[in-house]
This record gives sequence, structure tokens and C-alpha cells, in this order.
Amino acid sequence: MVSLLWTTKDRANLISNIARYESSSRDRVGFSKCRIAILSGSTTSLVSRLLKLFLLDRGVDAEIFEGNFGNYIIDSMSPSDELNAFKPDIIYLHTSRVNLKIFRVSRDFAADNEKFSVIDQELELLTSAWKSLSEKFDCWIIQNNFDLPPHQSLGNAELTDVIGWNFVISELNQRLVAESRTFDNVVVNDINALSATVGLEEWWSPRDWIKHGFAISVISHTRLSFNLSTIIGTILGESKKCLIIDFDNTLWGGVVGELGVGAIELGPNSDRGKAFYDFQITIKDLQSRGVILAGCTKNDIDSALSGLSHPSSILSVDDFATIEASWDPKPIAVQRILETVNLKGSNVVFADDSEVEIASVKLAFPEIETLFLDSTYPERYSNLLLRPRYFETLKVTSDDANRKKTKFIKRPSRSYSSREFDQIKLLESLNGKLSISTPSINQLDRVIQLINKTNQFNLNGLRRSPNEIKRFLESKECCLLICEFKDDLADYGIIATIGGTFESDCLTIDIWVMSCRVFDRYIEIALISQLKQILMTRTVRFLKMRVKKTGRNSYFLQTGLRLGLSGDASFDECWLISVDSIPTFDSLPIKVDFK
Amino acid sequence: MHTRDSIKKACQEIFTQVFSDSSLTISEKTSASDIPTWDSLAQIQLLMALEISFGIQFSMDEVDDLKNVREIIDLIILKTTT
Repeated sequence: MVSLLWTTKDRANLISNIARYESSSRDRVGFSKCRIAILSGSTTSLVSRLLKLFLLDRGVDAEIFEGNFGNYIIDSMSPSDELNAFKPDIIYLHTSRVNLKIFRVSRDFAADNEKFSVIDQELELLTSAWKSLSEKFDCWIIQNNFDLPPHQSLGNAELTDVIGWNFVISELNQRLVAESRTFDNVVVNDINALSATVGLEEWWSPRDWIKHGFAISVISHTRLSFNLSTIIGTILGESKKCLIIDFDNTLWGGVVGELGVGAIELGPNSDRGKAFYDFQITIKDLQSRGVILAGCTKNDIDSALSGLSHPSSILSVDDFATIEASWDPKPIAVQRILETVNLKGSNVVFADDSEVEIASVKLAFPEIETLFLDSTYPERYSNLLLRPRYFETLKVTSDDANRKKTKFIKRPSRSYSSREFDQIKLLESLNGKLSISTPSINQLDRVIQLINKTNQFNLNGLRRSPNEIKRFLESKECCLLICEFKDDLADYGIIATIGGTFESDCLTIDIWVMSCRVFDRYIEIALISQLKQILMTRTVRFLKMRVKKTGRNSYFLQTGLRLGLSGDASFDECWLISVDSIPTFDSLPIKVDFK
Repeated sequence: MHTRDSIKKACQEIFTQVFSDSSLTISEKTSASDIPTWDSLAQIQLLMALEISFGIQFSMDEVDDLKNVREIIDLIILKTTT
């Protein structure tokens, strides 16, 4: 539902499809219940329907009472029998600028104090309503503040002159908030800020007001109702408490394990660096007001921490309650994080630049809110994280401030049995297709680039000149293969290459690299299986690998160990195994095509 | 350029969407009395979808005059050809 809020077309579609969304939300098992009364100065039929939908999306099954049109003061001071019987948990006073008496009079006030006395009267009316409702019902009260008028007949003086409407509304809103603080149960719904975000020209429709009595345009009801649902969700304790965040291409540009900390994009020296820097400021702000921050990165711990030590990094290791840096599938890392911070998945937002990681976490933990951050647009990250208002709070408390200092002690890892993560099923659903072939001449630039910039999945870290690569391609004694990969999410292009030299009955592999964008996609397994078939048809009996520990290629070394390619050798020796003993994999979650 | 048939087809899709009823088939005579859930809010939803779909805006008076599908199609033709 939240994804339907951000363009005018989507908002219009949402309104046209209310009935469809309502009928698709019938299964409400385990939903929390809530009774909400809407007392209003305008038509409420649309806000009522949309609010119910947005709450269902949050797992709240709301029953809604609508007061009579324009009757909010009478309903508050002297509730009807129906409202008394309804016993609301929450009362929403849906008022706006159109309900201010001040707008019904001319503004030729004789003196400033007359203006302020009008504001006093408006406030007195509202605070009396709050008092009355608080005495009669044990409930929360949500009160709209006031939106600005769409037209500025005095121009800038609407704000700077004491008879300006913007000046009056600003004064009124400030005093409204001050008054609300004297009540424990009153929360202000800031439609002043919301209308500014939406834009007053979309927020207000004279046709919708005159024709239907809507205090805001039909289309803006979507944003208003969503705003309300976040406040109500917070009242009911449904807001998120923890952000689990990826590192590479999320907190900085590039893969720190590949590039080294000196070459990642972060800080003032590039546009992308500035964008990641700004995003770190956003996260730091969340963390500083009590959102628990957890790192979740496929990295060696040293590489992960080196990124945070970058001179332009706003975030430091100390800002994280816990950091999971490993090569395990992310759902397993997320499970460990949940155990460490002792939270349920429904309390957590998981953000990552990889659609596959997002899909894998969503599959394992449907209750976790996931956020895909497309690293093509790091400048959008802050907006993407903040606009769904995951971390809404009614008030920042001293507990929130203290929480940021809390360090969670990692519990001993336990096996991943409580919730089986079916990665195979996920990968099958993505319809991955791996194409293995000999590169053409016009593909060599990419092959050279891949070999010379890949660190984590790299046999030995050796850099190769274009001539060396060409020799691998042209010599009959040599073999050079590339892997191209695509799935339903993306076409990744050339993502791996392997190359070696035949010497009698042995193939010696000198090159084997793979892009970190396709880790955990079974590509190395498919490739080694295919290579085994090639070697068997050529009656090659041994496979030798010129492996070298580089300090950055532990992922490769661990993979070699896992696949049984290292034999008994250590990471610092050449690996030699018979072709027969290369493991075969009958069933893979990706399709393999060998040309 | 919209034809009467293409507008009617788009209306059919929008009606199906707004009333969440895939079995609903409209004719030019279809009016609010034929669809029990065609209330004032549904009317607002229909008009919003039509405005977005055809890139037009209805005036208050025009909205008042729309009593059935034929009148909706006539108005869309008028607004998209002038």
C-alpha cells in the first residue's frame, strides 16, 4: 500500500481501487483491533475508507465511527448515544483551515490584540473539546493542526503582516502544539507539514470542497490517511525500532572489499560520495534519537569496519548495536541480529541495494519491512527511508536517547532451524540463466576490467595486461571462458571468467574471478560442473589451481574449500585434484547454457 | 484520438476497477440505479479515474449532469475533441 502513495497517478489509482483492496484484505487473523471515532468539520467518507485500508496494511483491524458532517464541536461537548456506545480507543478530530471562524470574517482588525483574541477563541474551542472528550472517554485524541490557504492575496505579507493568514495560522499552530503538550493523550497530526510536502495546489481543491464538502482534495486523502495510520500505528506500538542496513553501495559507493577503503565513494570529492554522506547523516539522525542500528554485510569483518573508518564516514562502529559481517545468506545474518537485539521481525526495517537480498529476507521473514535502495540513485536514499515513516514516534523520550548507547551482547549463534530459509526456492523463482562461452573480441574489455578489479572472488589477485588475456584467448593450449548471467531482476552481463593452460593431462587454472553482485547464485558451482564435463571430454585428468591468499580473497578461498577444490592443500599452496573428484551437482536453481 | 468504442472500453475497465466486480458489464444505459454500490463516493472515484485516464477535468456542473454511462461517454468525447 505504501508504494501507492508517491505519484499522482498511483494515488488516483489507489482511490479508484479502494473496493478491490478492501476485498483482498479479508483475512485478518491475528490483527490487533482498534475503535476509532472520526469527528469532523468536513466530509469523512473517504478518509474513513482509506484509513481502514492503511491500518489493515499495518495489521490493525479498525472499526470506525463517523460523526455527522461539521458536527465535531457538538459531538465533542455532548457525545451522541451512538458515540458513547462505540467507546472509542482513539478520537480523530479531522479539522482544517476551512473550520476556522477567522476565515469567515474580513481581516481589517483594528489592533493586534484583536487578532490574537480570535486565535484565543479558536484554541479555547479546541481545548474545551479535548477536555470534554478526555473526561468522557479513556482514549487518545488526534488533532489536525491547520493548513495554509492555497492563495496568497497579500503575497509575502501573508506571513509577515499580523493580518496575514499565514501569520495567523503559524501562530495558531504553535499555540496548538503548546496546548496539546498539557494533555497526556493529545497528539497533533501535522497537516501543515503534510500539505507543504504534497503541495498546496494539489492539497486543496475548491471543487471537492464546494461539491463534496472535502476539506482537502480527493487525491490528497491518500496522504492524509497514511499519515494518520502511522500515528495510530505508533499509538498501538506498531512502529519500527530497528534498522538493519547493508554496507557496500548502501552506506558508501562501491564494494570496500574490492576497492579498499581509499577508493570507496563517500564524502565531498564526488557527487555520489556526497549522496552517500548525506544518507549517513540521515541514518545518524535516526540512531541518535533511539532507532537501533544493525549492520548486515557480506564482507570480512575487517573490510566492513574499514569502510566505517573512512575519514568522511559519519557513522562509526560505536553507532551500531551489532554488525553481522559474514558470507552467510542474509536471512541467517538477520536471524542472528534479531536474536542479538531481541526484537521481532515486525519491529524491523531491512535496507539493501540488492534486490536478491531483499527478496531473500522477504521470503524468510515476511513480517520484516524491506527497503530496496537502487544504488544508481544514492541521492534518493534518504527520501526512500524516511517517507514511509517507519520510525514514527509520538515523543522522543530519555529512554530513546539512552537506547543509542546500548551495546547488545551477541548471543552464541545457534543453528538456523527456527525458520528455514529456502534460498533454492527463491533462486528458482527468479529464473536465472547462466550462459558460459568463450569471449568474443568485443567482450575482452569487460573481461580485462573484471579480472583487474575483482578482489573477493579471485583465485590469486594477479592483474593481467590486455595482451596476456588475448594470449589466453588465442592460444590452443589455453582456455578462457566467461559467464553471462541474467534473471527476472536484471541482466548482469559478464560476471565471471575462468582461464587456464593445458599441460598434457592437466589444466592449470591461473584466472578465476567473479563479481560480488552474483555471490550466492550458484554460479561458481555451475561453472565448475561445466568445466568438469569439458575436461572429461578432453580426457584431462587433473585440475591445478594457482591459488594465492591475498588478504582480500577469503570469500574465494572459503568457496574453494566448500566445493572440495582445495583437496588437502592450504590456502597458500597450489591446489591439485583429480577431475574425477570435482563434485558434480545434478540440480541447480539456475539454468545453464554452454556454447 | 478516442472513438466511442475505445471510450466505452476504458469506461468498462474503470467501472470494473471501482466496483471491484469482474463480472460487471456496463451498457450505455447503465446508471446508478443498476449498481447498488454506485453511491456518491463511487461517483467521485469513477470521475477521478476517468479524469486521470483521459487527461481531462470535469467542472462541477458537468459532474451534476452525469446520470448514466451514455452521458459520461458523450462528455468525454466532447472534452477530448474540443
